[in-house]
Amino acid sequence: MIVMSYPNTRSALHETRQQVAAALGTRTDVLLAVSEVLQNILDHSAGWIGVVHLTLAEIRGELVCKVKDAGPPYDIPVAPSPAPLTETSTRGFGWMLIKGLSTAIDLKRIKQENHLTLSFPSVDHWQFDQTR
Amino acid sequence: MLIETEETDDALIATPVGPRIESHNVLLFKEALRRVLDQKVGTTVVDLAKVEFIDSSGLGSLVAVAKLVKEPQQLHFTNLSPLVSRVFELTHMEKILNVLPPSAAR
Repeated sequence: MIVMSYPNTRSALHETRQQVAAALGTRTDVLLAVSEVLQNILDHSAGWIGVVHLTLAEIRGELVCKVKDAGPPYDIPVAPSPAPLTETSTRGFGWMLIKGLSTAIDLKRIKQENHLTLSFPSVDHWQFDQTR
Repeated sequence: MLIETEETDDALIATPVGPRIESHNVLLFKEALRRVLDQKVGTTVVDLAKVEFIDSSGLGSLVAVAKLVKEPQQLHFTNLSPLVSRVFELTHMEKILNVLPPSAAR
């Protein structure tokens, strides 16, 4: 199990991401989804300065990530339909990746805090080639 | 981020050397790739074989650079690692960006 708390700043996020990467090893799918969540919290913090709490654990054969923060409520965009390149935005991919990589997402707003839980397939069901 | 380049008869092959394109280095990567595109009027193929990890900001940089390309210039991507390939798929970019089969760069 990984339990981390860090201040919601760019430098702390970078350091946290490196620690999570080292802990997750070849699970780059989980790292990517978690990185996107943490980056979103920072990018949409609207001046909020506080502590982000992160837990990663294997529960009943699934990898489960819990993130708690007291920043603004999440604003999860609707995924855009594919469009020609000229009409394609260069932003907004983060939640498409989080939704696509996780098997379940649970988001609650409790007492001015965001509680996000992401689930991922167990290693046995991981489809990426781990030799790379 | 360093991008190695190699001229072939048909195209300029651009190979990003760093294994990660993500928020903390994306601006450098985007600028480096834009400068590579400035070198070639014809076809440029970005060989992503050495890129193991890309996040949404890295993908956004590829889209942004691809949007700069004007005829007769062409920009292709090839040799996507499993994770990069999955990122393209989940965001539908494999249909929007020009992705060549693996090793099409050589």
